[in-house]
Amino acid sequence: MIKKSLVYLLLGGLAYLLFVSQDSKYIVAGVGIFIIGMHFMEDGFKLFSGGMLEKVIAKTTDTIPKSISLGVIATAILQSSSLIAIIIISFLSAKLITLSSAIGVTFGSNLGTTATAWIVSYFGLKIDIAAFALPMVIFGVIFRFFENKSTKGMGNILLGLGFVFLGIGYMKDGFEDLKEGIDLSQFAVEGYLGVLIYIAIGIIATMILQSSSAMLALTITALATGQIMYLNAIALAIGANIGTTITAAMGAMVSNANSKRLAVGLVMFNTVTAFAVVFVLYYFVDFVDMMAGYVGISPDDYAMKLSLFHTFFNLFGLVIWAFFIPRLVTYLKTLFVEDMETYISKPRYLNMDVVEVPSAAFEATKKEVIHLYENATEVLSHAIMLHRHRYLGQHNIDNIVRESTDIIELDIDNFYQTRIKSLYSDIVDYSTFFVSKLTDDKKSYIIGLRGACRDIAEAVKDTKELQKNIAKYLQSNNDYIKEEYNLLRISIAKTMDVINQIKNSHDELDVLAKSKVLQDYLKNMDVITSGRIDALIRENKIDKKMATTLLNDSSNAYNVTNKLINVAKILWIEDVTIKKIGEQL
Amino acid sequence: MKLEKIYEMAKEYLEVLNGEDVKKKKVKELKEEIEEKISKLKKKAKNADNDEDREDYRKEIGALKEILAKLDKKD
Repeated sequence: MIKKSLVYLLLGGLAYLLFVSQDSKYIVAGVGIFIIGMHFMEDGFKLFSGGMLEKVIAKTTDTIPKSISLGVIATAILQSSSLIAIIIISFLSAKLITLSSAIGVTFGSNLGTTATAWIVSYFGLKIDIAAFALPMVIFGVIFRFFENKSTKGMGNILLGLGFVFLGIGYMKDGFEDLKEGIDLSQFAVEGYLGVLIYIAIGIIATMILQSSSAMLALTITALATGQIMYLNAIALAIGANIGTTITAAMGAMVSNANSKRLAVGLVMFNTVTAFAVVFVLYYFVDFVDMMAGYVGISPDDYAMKLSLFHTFFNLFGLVIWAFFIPRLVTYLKTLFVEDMETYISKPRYLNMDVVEVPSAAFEATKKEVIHLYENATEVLSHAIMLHRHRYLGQHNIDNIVRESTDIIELDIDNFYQTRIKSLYSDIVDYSTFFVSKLTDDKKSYIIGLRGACRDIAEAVKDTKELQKNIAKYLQSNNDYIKEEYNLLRISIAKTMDVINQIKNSHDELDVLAKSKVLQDYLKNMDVITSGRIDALIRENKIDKKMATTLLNDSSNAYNVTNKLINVAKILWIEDVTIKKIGEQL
Repeated sequence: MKLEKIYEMAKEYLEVLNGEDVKKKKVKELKEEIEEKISKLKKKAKNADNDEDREDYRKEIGALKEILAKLDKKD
């Protein structure tokens, strides 16, 4: 409730901000475009898996020193440590790089980003990365039309990079006026208090700007024009280093456990280094002053000295941390347990390229629901302690069930999350892209398919209690209760077997007739309608607790089988007339 | 690739391209189809190897007759 209210409040605030401030539109749109770009890049790198890119990355990041070097060089060329962090997160998600290498690259990239400070302080200008954005988007779109997987992947990467650049460009444009409006000199504070205040300002400003390079450029300009003290500028630079990790955290939020580990590693690197440097700040500044003399920087050239400080600061962090990367990786692995993403059942037929041809997308959706059903039959079979190959298509299902008494360990909740729910969401999401373009009859069929997905999901959830009690009573000494649970297992197994026949029959009347026969069989098998429950209680063959459990499970099994029959009718009866008759039976 | 496979794929492709509308059989057409199915099943039941199979066919015939009755009402 509180979370929901907070979201509405934030959305309301955002709407108000967009209404009153022109600049904010560019900033917010920039963030959106930036995130879209990140997704494109991730897709692009995934398309490259198994190809040349993998080999190049493997060669340049197989050891920690190599990874660090790659980070330094790539960031110095691309002029953005945030961008490198995002690329590395994409690499990690696509499993093209290990966590140790990724950490090495991002730590190296912290040093590489100091190149910007040198360029700004020496040449007084910065490469406008936004100028590359539109050509990248154009070529990215063209490359995406190619059939070749690698070219398509390159298209996605270019498109993603273009959007990321464009996003940063929009953010910066929006902040241009803000940058001019900030008068840093009014906050000049001496001593350690000043250092802490300016670190905080550096963090917040970099979080908003989403670029430590931009923040450093601002700081160097302010320092060169005498708006701030040298020590305050140093604190701003330290703050900028911490603030920039928020960009990586933003990327990690939409990614897997490994990416979260990387983001936390980066936050730790910057925060711990900052604390260490602040602790010995005055000695560190003296050391930088001394080194400035050696490299020929004049004592009053504070802008250049700030760049030197920034370089030594990151180098210091790198030296400290480089030796601890393996230990850090071990710690981070305990912090975030590998999520289920790896095991999630991915859609087989939901191709977005097909969405523009509604009739083809319609067929793809139908096939995907059948895929979902197949996943469900796996869990349902295991829940009743059977393997599909043992009973599907067999005549003597009753005997097979009674003979199969081995308990199959199964975590239904986990299975539901990884094999059912994600696919169900994908199907519903995919169908929204083309359903409006369909004829009314086909539209109602798609709505039916969504209903089938819901039935499949509920059927799986309904088996949770059932599975627990089947496992319990299969090992019971009471033969009567054991037999009742065997009958429930037989009902479910026969239902899945008949549906398997229906699936392969290609005759809609056959589907209807077989469903009807199955429904009648299930009614006769029911423990209440058959009167068996009364006899079992009356003759003291089962106790009261067993009876209530059996009644509940019988109802669960009935729900499961009915839902499965409903799914079969939806999936394998398309003819509207036959479908309507089926609803009346 | 076998010729039959290519033919199946081509057929599927054409069906996808042309299949703008879902199928809608006429009641009369359906009734004829069911009656034909029932007579085939009766023959199968007569020639069944065992009682169990015979019983299965009988149940299916019963279900089809029920469908036919529903269609009669609709007619």
